[in-house]
Amino acid sequence: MFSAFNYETIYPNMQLILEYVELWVRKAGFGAMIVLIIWSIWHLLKALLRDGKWLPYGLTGRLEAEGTGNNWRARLFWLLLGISYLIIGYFIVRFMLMLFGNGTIYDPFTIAKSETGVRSHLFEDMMTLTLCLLCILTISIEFFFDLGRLSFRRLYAISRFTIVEAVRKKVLWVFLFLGIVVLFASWFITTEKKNDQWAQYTNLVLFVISTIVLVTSSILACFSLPTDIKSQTIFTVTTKPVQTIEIVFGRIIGIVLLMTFILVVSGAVTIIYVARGVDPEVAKQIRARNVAFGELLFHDVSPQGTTVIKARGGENIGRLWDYFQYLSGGTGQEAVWYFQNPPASLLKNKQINLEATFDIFRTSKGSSDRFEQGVAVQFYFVNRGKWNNNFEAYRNARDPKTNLPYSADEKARLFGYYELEKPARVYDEGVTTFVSFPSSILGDNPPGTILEVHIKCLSSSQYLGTAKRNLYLVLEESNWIYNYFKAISGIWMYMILVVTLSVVASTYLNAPISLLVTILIVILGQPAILGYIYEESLPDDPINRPGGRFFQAGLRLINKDNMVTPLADNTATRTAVALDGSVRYVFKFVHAALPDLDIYDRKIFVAEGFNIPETELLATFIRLLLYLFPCLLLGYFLLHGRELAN
Amino acid sequence: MQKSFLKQRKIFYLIGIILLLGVAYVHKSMVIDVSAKTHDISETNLGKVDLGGSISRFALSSFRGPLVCGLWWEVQKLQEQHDYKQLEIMLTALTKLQPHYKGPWKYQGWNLAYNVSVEFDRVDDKYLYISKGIRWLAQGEEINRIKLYDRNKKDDLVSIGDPEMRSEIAQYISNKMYYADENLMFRPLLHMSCIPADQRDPVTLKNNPSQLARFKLQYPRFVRRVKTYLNIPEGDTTALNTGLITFLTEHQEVPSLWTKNANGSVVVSNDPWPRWPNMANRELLGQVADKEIMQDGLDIAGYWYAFSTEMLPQPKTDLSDDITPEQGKYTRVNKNMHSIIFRAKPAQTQSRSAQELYKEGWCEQARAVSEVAYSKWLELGVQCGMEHSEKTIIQRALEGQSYMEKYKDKADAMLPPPEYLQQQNPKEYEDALKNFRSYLFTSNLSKLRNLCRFDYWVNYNLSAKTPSYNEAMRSKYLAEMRYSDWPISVYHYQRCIGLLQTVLKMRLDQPQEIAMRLSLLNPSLGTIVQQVMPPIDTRVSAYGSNETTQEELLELQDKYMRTQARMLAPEQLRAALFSWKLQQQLVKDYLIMNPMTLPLAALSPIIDSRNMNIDFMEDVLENGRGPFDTIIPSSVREVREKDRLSNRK
Repeated sequence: MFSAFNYETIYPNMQLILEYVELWVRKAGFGAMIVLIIWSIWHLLKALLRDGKWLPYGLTGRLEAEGTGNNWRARLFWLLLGISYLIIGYFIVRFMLMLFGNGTIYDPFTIAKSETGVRSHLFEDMMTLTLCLLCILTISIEFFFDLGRLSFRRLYAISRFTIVEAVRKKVLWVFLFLGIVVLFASWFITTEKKNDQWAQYTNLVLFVISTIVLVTSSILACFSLPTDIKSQTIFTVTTKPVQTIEIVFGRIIGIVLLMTFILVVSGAVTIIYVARGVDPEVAKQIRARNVAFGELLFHDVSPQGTTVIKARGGENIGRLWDYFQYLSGGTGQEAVWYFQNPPASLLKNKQINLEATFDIFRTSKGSSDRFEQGVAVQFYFVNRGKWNNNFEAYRNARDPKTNLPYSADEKARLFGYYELEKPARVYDEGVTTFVSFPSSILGDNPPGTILEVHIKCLSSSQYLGTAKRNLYLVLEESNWIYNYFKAISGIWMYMILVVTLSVVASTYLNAPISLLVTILIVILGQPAILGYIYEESLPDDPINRPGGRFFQAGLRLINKDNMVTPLADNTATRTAVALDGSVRYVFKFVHAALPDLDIYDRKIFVAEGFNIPETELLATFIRLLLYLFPCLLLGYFLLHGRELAN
Repeated sequence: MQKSFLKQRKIFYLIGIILLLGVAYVHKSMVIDVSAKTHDISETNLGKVDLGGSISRFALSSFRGPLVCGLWWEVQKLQEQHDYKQLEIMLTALTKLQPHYKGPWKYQGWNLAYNVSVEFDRVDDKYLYISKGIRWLAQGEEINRIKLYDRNKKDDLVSIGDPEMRSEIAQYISNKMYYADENLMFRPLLHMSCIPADQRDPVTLKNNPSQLARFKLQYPRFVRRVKTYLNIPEGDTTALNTGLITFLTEHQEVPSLWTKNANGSVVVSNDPWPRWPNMANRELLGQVADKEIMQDGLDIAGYWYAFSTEMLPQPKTDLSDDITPEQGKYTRVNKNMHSIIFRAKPAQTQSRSAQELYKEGWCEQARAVSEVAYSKWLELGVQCGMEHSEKTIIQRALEGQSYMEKYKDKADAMLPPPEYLQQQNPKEYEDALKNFRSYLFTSNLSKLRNLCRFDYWVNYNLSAKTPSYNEAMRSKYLAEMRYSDWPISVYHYQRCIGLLQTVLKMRLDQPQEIAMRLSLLNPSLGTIVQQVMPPIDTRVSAYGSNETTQEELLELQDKYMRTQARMLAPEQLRAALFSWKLQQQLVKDYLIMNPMTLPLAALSPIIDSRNMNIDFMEDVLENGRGPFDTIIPSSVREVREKDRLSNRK
């Protein structure tokens, strides 16, 4: 029933989280530095032209309220500001030297990969990190001080008030929409292919739940503060000893709590609906598999007859969707999945189960019988620590006691090698291939064990499409109901993001504009658009993206040049090239500022019967918090900027 | 006091609201609805109304556009990723949001049936997606049957569908279910879709031999198609029974016309496959399960083709004028092809059905179908003004020729005689105008008849419904079935060719026939032969002289010659070898007697005995004179020969 696991999204995981945090510190720190420089210029001009107050008391000046004598908070701020200026000065000098000298230009956004851990510019890296952290701390010091003064009682009161207000606004009527889903979902579900029912049901209900929750929460969050401000009821709150930060946090927490309740109820209702809606046979087969993925590499045979790794991956057959890479059938090409340190649970059973799905591209069709026979694929398994490529010894190995050939299990244990007795028949379009091999191949599975799964397409004139995540080792099963709620937790995180963005936007903008801004951010955060923005932020690539960017393309349009004709070496071209180079950084900034919304969508896991790892959810939540921090900071400053808060 | 006043005021308001609503309702039903109906501006005029879809469209208001755009984007992405289960959901959502835009229905119907279906390996999956595509299109067609107000109609409303959508449904069914590469598989599957699951339950049939025998009797066409698909030898009943049960088991879950309701009785499914134009016609559907002829792809396509021509305007029968059809309020003109080709589709499909049935050996049924097809062609001829007496045609052709000669420039541009002629020579103008109209007539007639291949199909059906042709085709089928049993195959081929010879010759006209029959009164050797021969002319009939027929005849002749060559080659080879040896011996003896003539031996046209093998002999016999060589012109034969040689290379 469950088939392909074709996903391209790189979900956050705990192995990469440090790497991500470091990158976040650099990006956020860079942004903080720009804010700090702009603020410094503004402060100097203000002091010079308006009030003559040269000493700063925080970005908003709130630290002045602590008094002028023995004000340690202000002194800490000055200290941080001073060190930050010093390091900024150091980097400006260093940059000038690099620009006019022969040194290579240091890219502050290049971080050491977790696999290697090698840092080419260790000192600069440390200095950059220090500067970024200092800048972040400097601009957010007032926020942190206010955070320290946070009263949970007041927070509770505001949250409660927000919930009561929302309930009075008939927000619970959203359940009516859920009823509509229950009534009309069957329109979209095909009953002919039972195997597709589960995927269709779950995709549909999770899509509807997320739409209901996100739309409701964004409307609620966008209209909450502006309505209070418009009706001046917020003054009854601000005249009380309530901090700005508490108003923002209280709203967010209130809406999040209410929407969490709606989400949980919706999840419970829909899971019952789905479980009852699918065919009883299908319901019995619902799974939540834990699987282990490997790293995929492609091997080929060089003209000298040796095996070489194909640096460019598999063959390209010209499909628009380049998820699959292909093996040419009847050749020496192989796809190899490397499983480093396979999980110990694999040794529990005598056999390790492997599942795989493939894409087949046929260059010859033949009769319908040919299709029914599928494509022949040879699987073989190697424990890299044991196998020494001695096929002769492997084939002739006999038990010295009995002089009988070893069993497959024994051979696998002794040699670290196993191959299927006959090629497997694999089929197109998500039909899963099931293969088992002896777990004895792993031996005692010592640390550092590398298990390799090799496949080779034997049917000539057919191309076999493979992808990293389309072959995996099956571990134990998890509870699918729990898995369903884990998918809902993805929607929950998405909702928190939307609520925060909406509240932050509404601290400065009026309600409809806040809503439009939130919708715009959500649209821009969609994978297709975000992917486009990312592509535009990359350096020029005349091979894969000929013709240049916006300005060069405009120039070509005016000159009626095609995309590959070299542009004339003149001022116009040089200007266009320079402008295009700068535009890239605008896209880079926009890309850094936008949320990656794809990481919250876990529908595919439930639909295809895969367990969602808790560690991945945790990593996703950490990423969410990191993204929300600058947003909250922005909301804090914006609300301070408003007259009502003064 | 104050409270009671408030209460009275509320009651007053309530009564006011009810009264206003009542008035509004009466006004709506008596004035607005009637006006909307007369001016065809209500939602029901657009086609079938779907409440849920309407609500969602209303609720989305102006967000519908961006949402539809996003859905299209998603659909493209899902197709690239081969995620067909999600694709279907997106398509459903898309068409719920824009049900009266025919583009998605047409495009996705084709996409599912042609692009998606071929991505699958399993024939069942291919079949499922083809059926999904066609059902999708049929659903779109049904939703988009617009309803217009017509006061002359009994129920005021006339339903007008899209001719192209209907024609596309027919085309997809015939292409995929009858002519596709996998047709050997799809044809029996289509039968299965039409037969209720109870009647084809493999377990029941396996455990009940008498029921299986009844099933085989009831569905002989299905059984034969399964037999052909599984390549089961003729007469092997055990293998056939096993194969049949296996086939029924493997494909038990095919999309079907029927389903079971809560009571366990068989009813028409909610999303039935196959589809007919009017699924509300329970009488027609009731026959489907039992009548195999209704379970055939071409037959179903025929219904849709006939349905597609229903809303076309009446054709113009005056061929001496412009015959371009004009669209009226209650009619629709097809856009993709000439209207005569479109109109001829039902008759053409019927004729093709006859041809295919003859090929498969269902000769009696084929004959009945060709009878119907013949009458359909004649009906079409009369309806479109293509049927005229020979005399009229010749006379008008001559008049047209005269116009062509006198006013070539005008004739080339299809223009009437110059206007100035009317003033200068009114008589000449009148004659020229008459000739011009004849010229138009001839041109239109020729165009109409050529475009729909009227003459070929009429003549084909005229021949196909004769007993001789029927017998000839039966023999041909038997000859092809027994192709490895050479003597029997050759016998059937010869019988077929002999019978076809009579069909391909012109019938004698009445005076000739009377004269011939009178001559039979004085018996002679010639007349005895004529007694057993039907009264035919030596000239080739219109059907026989058609190029398509001649190509078919050549194909038949090739098969016959090949089979005959294989049968006769060993004997002929033995004789040839004997003759060669004899010749050698004679030469040898002669040379011994007269050594002076030795150099002449080298010049004698003797084939080397090493080349004289069975292949050579088969080639010689195969390339000999064929039975149709007198009928088919040498030019056609040469083209065929070239093709044959190039294929062999």
